[in-house]
Amino acid sequence: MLWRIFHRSISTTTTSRSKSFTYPQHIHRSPTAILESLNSCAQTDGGNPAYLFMDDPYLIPTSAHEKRQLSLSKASGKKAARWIMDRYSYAFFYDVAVPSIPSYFPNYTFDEKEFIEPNETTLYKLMNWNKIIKAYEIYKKCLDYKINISDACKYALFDLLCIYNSDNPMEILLPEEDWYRRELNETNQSGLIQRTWKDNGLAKQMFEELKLTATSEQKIRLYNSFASGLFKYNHAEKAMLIIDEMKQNNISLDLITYNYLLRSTSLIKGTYDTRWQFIIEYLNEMKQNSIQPNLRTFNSIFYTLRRCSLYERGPTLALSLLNEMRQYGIEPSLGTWAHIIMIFYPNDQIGYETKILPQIMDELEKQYELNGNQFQWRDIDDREFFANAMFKATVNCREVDLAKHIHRFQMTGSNSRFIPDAFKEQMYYTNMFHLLFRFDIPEHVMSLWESVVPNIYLPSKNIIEDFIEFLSTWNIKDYYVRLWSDLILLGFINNKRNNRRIIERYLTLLIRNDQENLSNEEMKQYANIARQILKRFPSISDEDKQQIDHTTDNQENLSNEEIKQYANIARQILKRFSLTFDEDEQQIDHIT
Amino acid sequence: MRCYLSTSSILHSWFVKLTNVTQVNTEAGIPKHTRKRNYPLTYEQRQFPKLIGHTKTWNTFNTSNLRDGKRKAEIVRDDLFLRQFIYGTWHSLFASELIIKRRHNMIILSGLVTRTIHPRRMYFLIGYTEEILSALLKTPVKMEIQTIDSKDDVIFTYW
Repeated sequence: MLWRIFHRSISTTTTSRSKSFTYPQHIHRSPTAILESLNSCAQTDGGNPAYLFMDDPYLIPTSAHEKRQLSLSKASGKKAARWIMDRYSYAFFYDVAVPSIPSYFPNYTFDEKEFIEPNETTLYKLMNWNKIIKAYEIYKKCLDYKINISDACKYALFDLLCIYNSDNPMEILLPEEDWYRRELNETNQSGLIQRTWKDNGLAKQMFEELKLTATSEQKIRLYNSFASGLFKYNHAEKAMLIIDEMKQNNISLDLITYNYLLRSTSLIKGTYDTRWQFIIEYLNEMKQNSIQPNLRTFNSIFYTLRRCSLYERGPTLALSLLNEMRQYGIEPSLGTWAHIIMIFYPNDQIGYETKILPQIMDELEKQYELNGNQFQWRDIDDREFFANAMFKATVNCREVDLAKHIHRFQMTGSNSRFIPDAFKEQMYYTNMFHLLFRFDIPEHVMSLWESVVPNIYLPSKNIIEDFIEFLSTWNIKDYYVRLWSDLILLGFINNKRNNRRIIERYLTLLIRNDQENLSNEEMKQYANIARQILKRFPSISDEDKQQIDHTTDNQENLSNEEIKQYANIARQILKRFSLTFDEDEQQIDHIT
Repeated sequence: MRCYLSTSSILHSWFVKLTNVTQVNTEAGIPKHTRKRNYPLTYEQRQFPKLIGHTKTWNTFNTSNLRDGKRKAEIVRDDLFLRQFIYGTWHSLFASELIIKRRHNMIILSGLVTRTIHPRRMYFLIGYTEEILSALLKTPVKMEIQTIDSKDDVIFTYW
């Protein structure tokens, strides 16, 4: 009691009370701040299928083909729903949400009659709905009927024409489709730089027209947009002509135009030295016009350096560029590092001595910590980082620890979103496992394999073959039986011609000589496997006692000899194990 | 206690008193034993409605009936619509009643589905249902279904 009074009096006398009370500052948070912080706690997990799929064994895909099919069928269902919404849109306008959610409403159907009246509001509406060609037609009509359109509208329309290359922009794909966009967009799969600018398109027409009536500020905007559009769609010669025109007429260039110019240097100049001189020239010009470079500028220069493959000065220039970036206070993004990796390791043989990749990884981890344990998307080139890093780590450096370091980094937090589509992910994991199967020990590899397969990465045929070789070199007997069920799950045991090598290798794995002392359990399991093989690939040789109906189906894909081969190999297995399992053999004879 | 609801206008008149079983002795949700005892009942159907709150729960979970709960009527209306929609879209695939859970502004639909259609078709239906129901009800709708082999798997007894 006394102690309490004593304690209380101490507390009031020792703390100094402030005379006024100040409210703490209100921290402004975005509407999804809670979701984002929850998201940062959840890491990429290889134990569960992707959130896209239902958590039921019938509905979880186990092979790469199935995964693609199921996610695309879900996207197709969504598209069907969207079609119904657009067709019967009168049913979808009852709104209970405050504030209302725009994506739950049908797309504004584009009624031809509404927009036939040519005036400025129509133009703005059409531009907002991404109907740029139609907007241009209405613009032409406006000129014919001599209706006045403000300059802001005209120049906005012109900008859009340049950005989208005189065409309507592509529809945004659903996320499930976007993951497979490389296969769905068949046009530029090789990644070559093609000139796609439409030469006598609407953009050029409008350019000629606006050139006549433009004031000097408007001319700046006009020429810059046109040059940027030309560079974006890789028409470098015409773009350089425009740039010369701009210089003659003393029109200053914009930062965006400079960025595009630096990025397209490799299309303008041929030899590496001339390219670098070109870059330096324009950088000096930028300095004279006091235009501050940004991250995109530096990434464009790195991109050009990367396209000068096997340039001796390349790496040194890249490092000095990095220093410049730091001086300007611009943090290098993942895209920068992706380009640097490709500059330092231009092909499969060179670059091992520089040891730059481990240094880059250390830098990145430091940056990651400084950024509060998260990385933001800062540049479009960021998407190449992980694929490039793993590629070079496995092909050039061939260091297992480095590959694992990169993988660990990719798994932390939400870094896995920097692998933007299925193709890059496939490349990343294929490279990693190629390396690990050749140079690493089973304890590490098996745990890594099981953490990633089958939910995050679904292996292709080559990796499975390497895996079987890995198992045979390291003699991991315990896994053989499980491998059979894994192969079935992953879809490699079927009648296709491509998969017969896998089956052959698996069977040779089982029939190895150093498998003398097998326990009863294991022999039973092997006999089970052999039974299944015989069921799936029934032989039609004369030794058989009965005809089966299934043979007609199987025969389309495998020839008789191959079926006989399998049956022989399987019989070999059975002969070895038949000492203890006569009954099983009788059963199998019944089947065949 | 039994509550006798008239099913006939002359049930309790002063001059005629009906005693036939089909009109006097009926109770909602409780089937009568069949002669051959082969009428299948799921576990849920076997728990008769008088056991709701005792050994049986409701099929929808929402907070509208708590104190200060909002939107009671709208939620009931949405529930009825959801059940009819799922019944019509998933053609005799659901083997159980639809369970509707509401969390914040999300609606989560659960149930047991038979494996009569290919997973591709099932995902098509899932994507379609989620998208169109979200657009109609203006709230995120998610499905969390579980598949069973056939409708025989849910039969609990024969009545």
